[in-house]
Amino acid sequence: MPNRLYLSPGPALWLIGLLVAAGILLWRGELVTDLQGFTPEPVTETGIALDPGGGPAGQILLLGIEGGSSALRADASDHLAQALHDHPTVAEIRNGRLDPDDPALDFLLEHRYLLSPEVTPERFSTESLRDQLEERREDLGSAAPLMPRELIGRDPTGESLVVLEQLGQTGGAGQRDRHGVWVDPERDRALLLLHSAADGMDLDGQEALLKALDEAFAEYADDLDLLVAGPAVIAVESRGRIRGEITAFSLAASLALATLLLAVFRHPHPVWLAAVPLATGILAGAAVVTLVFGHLHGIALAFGITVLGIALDYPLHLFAHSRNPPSDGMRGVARELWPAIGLGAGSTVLVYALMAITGFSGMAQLGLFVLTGVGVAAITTRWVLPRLMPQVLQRNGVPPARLPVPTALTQPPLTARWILAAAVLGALVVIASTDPFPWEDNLGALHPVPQEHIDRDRELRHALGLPDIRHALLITAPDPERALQAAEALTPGLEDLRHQETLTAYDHAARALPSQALQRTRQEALPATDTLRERLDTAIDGLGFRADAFDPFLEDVARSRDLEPLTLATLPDGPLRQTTGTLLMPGEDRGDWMAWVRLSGVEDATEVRNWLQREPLADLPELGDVGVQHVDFLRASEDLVSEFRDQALERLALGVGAVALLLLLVTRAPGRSLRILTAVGSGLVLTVAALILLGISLSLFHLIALLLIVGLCLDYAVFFSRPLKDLQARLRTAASVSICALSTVAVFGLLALSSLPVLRAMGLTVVLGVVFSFLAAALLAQPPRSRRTVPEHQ
Amino acid sequence: MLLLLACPLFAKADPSGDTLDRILEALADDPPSHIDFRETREDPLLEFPETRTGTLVFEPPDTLERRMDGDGGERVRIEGRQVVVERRGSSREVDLDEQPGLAAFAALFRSLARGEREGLEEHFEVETEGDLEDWRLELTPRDRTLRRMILGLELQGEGGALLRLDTEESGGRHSRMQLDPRDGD
Repeated sequence: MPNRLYLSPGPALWLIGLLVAAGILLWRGELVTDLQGFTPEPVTETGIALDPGGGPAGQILLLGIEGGSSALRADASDHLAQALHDHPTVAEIRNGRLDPDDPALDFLLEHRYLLSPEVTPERFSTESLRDQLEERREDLGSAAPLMPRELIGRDPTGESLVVLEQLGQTGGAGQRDRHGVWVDPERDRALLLLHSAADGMDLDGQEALLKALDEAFAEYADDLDLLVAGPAVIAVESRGRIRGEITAFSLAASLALATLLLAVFRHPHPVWLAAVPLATGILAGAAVVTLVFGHLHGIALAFGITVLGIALDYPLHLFAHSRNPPSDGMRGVARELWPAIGLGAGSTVLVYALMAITGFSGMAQLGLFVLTGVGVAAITTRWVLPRLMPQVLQRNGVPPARLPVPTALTQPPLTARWILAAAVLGALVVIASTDPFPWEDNLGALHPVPQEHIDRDRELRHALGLPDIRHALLITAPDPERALQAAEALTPGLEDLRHQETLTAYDHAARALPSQALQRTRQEALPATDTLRERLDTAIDGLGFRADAFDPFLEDVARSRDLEPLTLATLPDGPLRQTTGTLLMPGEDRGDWMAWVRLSGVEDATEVRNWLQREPLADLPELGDVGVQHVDFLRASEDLVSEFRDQALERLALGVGAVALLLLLVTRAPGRSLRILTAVGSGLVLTVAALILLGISLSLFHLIALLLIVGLCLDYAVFFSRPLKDLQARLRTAASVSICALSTVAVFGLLALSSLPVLRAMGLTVVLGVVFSFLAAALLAQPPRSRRTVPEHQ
Repeated sequence: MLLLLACPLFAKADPSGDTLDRILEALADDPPSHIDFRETREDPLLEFPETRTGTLVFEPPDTLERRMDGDGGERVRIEGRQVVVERRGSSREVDLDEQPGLAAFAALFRSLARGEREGLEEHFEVETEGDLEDWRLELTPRDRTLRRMILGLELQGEGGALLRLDTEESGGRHSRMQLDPRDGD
């Protein structure tokens, strides 16, 4: 059997495979870079998901302009608003300036009697009108009128102000300074609110927008600073930082690895040859994941390549064992090593196969990527790599590795094993006695964005009246009308909660856009023209107004009675639509609608949940299909992380069990299987205990690093536990595994120096894991059958 | 907009600037702490123009009060950015920045009382007519939003005495204040 395979043209098949994989990637390849689907979104300190889904909230950017004089800041603010108004990347930009020519404002004014909550029959009684008109009369001579004088004739009851104020409170708005633009409470920043055209998670689109912003701001950049905050900024920035670090890291790691291999083998060929199985594995893994999932997740690729570091070990074993090769040269060495390499790779594939069948798309991709990559790399090492070597090397083998291996490793004294056993026991005690177990469920702690940016985000948010919200109610309804009706029906209950100080404020789409039913009720509250004119004539008496002063008011009321009620679909672009759109949106599937009720200042959500349990909508039969639930974004994000972690741990445990079976089946040696598993277990236990003793909280990223350690340790233990003929073979094994371990330590030691917490976590964990796994595997090695040094391949 | 910033420089080069400087200097020289006024307003919503009297009080460094005479007459006190409006016994607090018209009024009177040309020109384009003995200042608000409400102001005075202030508002509204400065009591 091996002979037939051996005769098959490995390199030819390999080339074809490479071409097919490259073809798949070129044809279907799509690298998805969003963070969704792989990990939960980053959350701020107060626990707000900076992006609760890629939805409209992700499209909001907050801009702040600092420095210079208030006039210059207002100027720059106007300039930005104007320059970006028609930019293709911008859906809307607002700086607080109410442009009296803005058609959106006219629209609000025209529909004020449908939008104002003050509109009731009593509002238009003679008495109420009289009160209002007296106020307006004062306004005419006042230095600080309640109502702008130019609006009095058209809107003596002040509905336009009510509507504007309500919209401002709902959509987020800052205070205005005397220049008429939004500023923060300290008035040293001008503020703008921008809705991007691109989806929040379309990072390329967001990057283009950020560039456009910088360009538009360029002429002020000498005197002023532009601050930009928002989920998209954080996402784009993390991507940039991760990319930058990864590039630098890859370069440094490649250099370190090449130097190490050159020093050990004193020959240039092993350096590039070692990369062949790894590169083949990456290409194959990427192609298979693309075929199965239709796209490749950028994070799965990054972590996958990291974990594929195991694949580097296979060619290194080959080189380290190639001294005095059998008659067929390197091909013979590969054949001899195959049982060990194949067993190590097979076990790793098994562990990752269990990961690949989880519900988490990111984890499944990672699992599939790694298992494909490891399998392909092992096969490439066995059947392709020897043939790719230059003839001389193929025949004579790679020069012997120059790596002094301490005898303590090749012939470990018995006491060393006892020390290992004691250490593992101690580690188990450490792990068992740590309560609670230091899991880090807050991904924000590991997010690569500096805290100051997250603080800035929060600061600008507060200044614009868009505080980040941890608690919310989610209304699901079959259509927008019923979602809005439900929000309206919940309002009295929300008011009660506000009076009880369970919450400080709430906000929902129906405050900006009432349901059609409510709009009709308001239309019915408007008196007929003749009635209104009669009342007005009575109310106006003696105030000094001209008889026809309020004709525009009469006309507006008459017209409002016949207006078609507004719906989400008929809203024109503008602040009303933007505000509503962030709070009311179509659900992801099933064609239903979601409306958010944002709750601010909730310390304890128990009262909110109790209220919901009393089913505040139960009395309204027409809202039978409407669901209301309480959402805690922080809890949701933490739950997601811990669910991911539990699944990963469960898969890991299952995987180790499966590997035990595989080892037993393949080696048919219970003793050796036990050695291998003990080594893997010891390596893991020691690593986790060391992390705990170092005071590190374990996050998802540590877990991914532990998965890599399982693979590495399997490889080391399989090699060390091989039944070997003599001490010479044992020495070679020790040298070979040492080179593997050293190269991994070099690569991940560099990673541990990264400024990004994610990369640092992985680097440190892997370095610790390699050291412990290597020691455990070496100390638990099978002693050679003979202590004699015999010539090989006699 | 850069032109706007450069304006004070041009204004200095303008020969009329000298008159303005002299007027401002005269106004700021021992300014009266109280100014009685009589205001006549014309408004298209009103049947007849109405005339009311009141007093402006300036308390250095930057407190300004506008009191209307009579029962329940409005009293507006501006202290820095804080504005307290009293009307018929009830009072409310507003931020000066939310009342652009009032902000312009406050800026105008503060600049005049202190003789600050820069402060004046930050808010208004200023045109000077006449000489120190009998002068007229025509002010146009620089701010777009403000210009929507207040088309222009015209000040008339003799030496260090401001005698008349005309305000042209949008929508055909007009106010004329006749001022009668008196020494502090």
